[in-house]
Amino acid sequence: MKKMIALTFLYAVTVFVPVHMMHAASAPQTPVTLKSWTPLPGIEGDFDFLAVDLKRDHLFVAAEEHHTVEVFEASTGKHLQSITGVKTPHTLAYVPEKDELIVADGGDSSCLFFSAADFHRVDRVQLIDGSVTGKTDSPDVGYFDAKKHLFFIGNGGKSANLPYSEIAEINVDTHAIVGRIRVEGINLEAIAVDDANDKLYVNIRDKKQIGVVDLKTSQVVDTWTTPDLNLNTSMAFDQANHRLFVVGRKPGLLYAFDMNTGKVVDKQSCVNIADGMIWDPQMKRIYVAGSQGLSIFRQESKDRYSKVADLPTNGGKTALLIPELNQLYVIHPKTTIDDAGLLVYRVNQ
Amino acid sequence: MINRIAAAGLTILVSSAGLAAPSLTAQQPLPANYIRVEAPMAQRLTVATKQHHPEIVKLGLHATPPSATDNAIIGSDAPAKIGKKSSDKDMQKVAAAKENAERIEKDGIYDLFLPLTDAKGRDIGQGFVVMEVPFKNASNPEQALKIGEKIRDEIQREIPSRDALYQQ
Repeated sequence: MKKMIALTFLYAVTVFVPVHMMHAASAPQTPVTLKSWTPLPGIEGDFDFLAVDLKRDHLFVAAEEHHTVEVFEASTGKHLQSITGVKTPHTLAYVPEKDELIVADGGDSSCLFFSAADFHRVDRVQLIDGSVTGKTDSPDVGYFDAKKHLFFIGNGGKSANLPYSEIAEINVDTHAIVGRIRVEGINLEAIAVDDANDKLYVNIRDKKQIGVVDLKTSQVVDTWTTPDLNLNTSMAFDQANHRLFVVGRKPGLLYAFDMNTGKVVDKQSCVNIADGMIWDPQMKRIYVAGSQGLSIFRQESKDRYSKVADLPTNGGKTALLIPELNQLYVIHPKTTIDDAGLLVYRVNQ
Repeated sequence: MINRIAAAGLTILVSSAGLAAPSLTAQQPLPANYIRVEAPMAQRLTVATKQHHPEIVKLGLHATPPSATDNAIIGSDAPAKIGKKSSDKDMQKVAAAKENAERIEKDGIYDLFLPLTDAKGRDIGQGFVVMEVPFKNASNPEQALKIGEKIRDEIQREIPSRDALYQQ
């Protein structure tokens, strides 16, 4: 009897472990694997964009409704501290040469510069006053052009009760506004810059258009659209193949535009209410983060894209890929079942 | 020593989280294709979700309970099915890790299989949901899967962790 019971135990132990592993081993490799989740108790409201200071292993996240920038250890996802002194942070950028963190602060109608060493405020650049409506979205979108040392920042529009918007060009070395691009639209969303061709692309969401700006003249020279484009919010681009990726909402759709013609070459269903999109030229992948989850696409050819995964992310709609760490980050707000939190994924080949 | 190991073995076998077995003598024997499952949250979630979705006719939530060896139904709109082991066919789909819609002519339904994780995308023990969509509500497998994905996502958003499924 003793022998039988002992054998039963040994059988149980043997069976317990391998059954799960057998199935795991036979399952297809997913493009990303969740490594960790860092809960953020006490932080409520939406988050916006992320940035990284690789030198210090710092990941920054704009907690726009908590009125802070949250700092994490990039390699592990460990939460380190909160930076105060911001009102409604949206887009963030880190400038290595200046060792400064840029914050597009919609609640302050400004672009703020912080020391990345101790997070004290270094400078403030006044933008179009968006306080008249209380919408806190002037400014919202921004794009750091590392080659030109310019930070492009959208402001004005409906938040400022103006019939047009502006993209201010801020020199990140001098913190001076060196140019202004007038855009006939009141809700600017994501920006992308094609340095090689001196072109800037911007989602003009209220008009369901993509504005094409000639950076030599700072003028909008063309607008693109496509019949079912709606609430176009996120943007990324593949420089090598001249493909611009735009994601719309309601429904969630990813469009690939030929940047030479402005025509759509492919369209795919993706998560809804997306705010973040990343093009990974090494892996030939597009990551779309939306409140429904994370859609991951593979570029089969420059005109053909296929979805390889839809993953739940607890409502996280912004993301950052750090190729140097081979990690992808998604930040999600507090939900009915969970605290807010940072999801850290390993990127698989 | 063997006694102690054997006792530990029995403890593991009968009292693992998610397996309801407070006393070996007090319980009715189970059919061979059943395991004991106590997953109140999973059951509540399944029933509540089904009530909100008249466009489907069956809903089952499957997973391998913590420390159990078998994958089984842990939530169902037909409570008598709770504890029933998942079929080999279902386990093949688990291994493939892909959603699937099978057209069943004789029943007039699409039989759906969709992988399930927690709200953050973490494993809940080879989790998946099965449901049936009548032909009158979907004219092709893609449409049926759209319905299924929406319902699966709703369930997923309510699962904070694997352990939570087995709590009150």
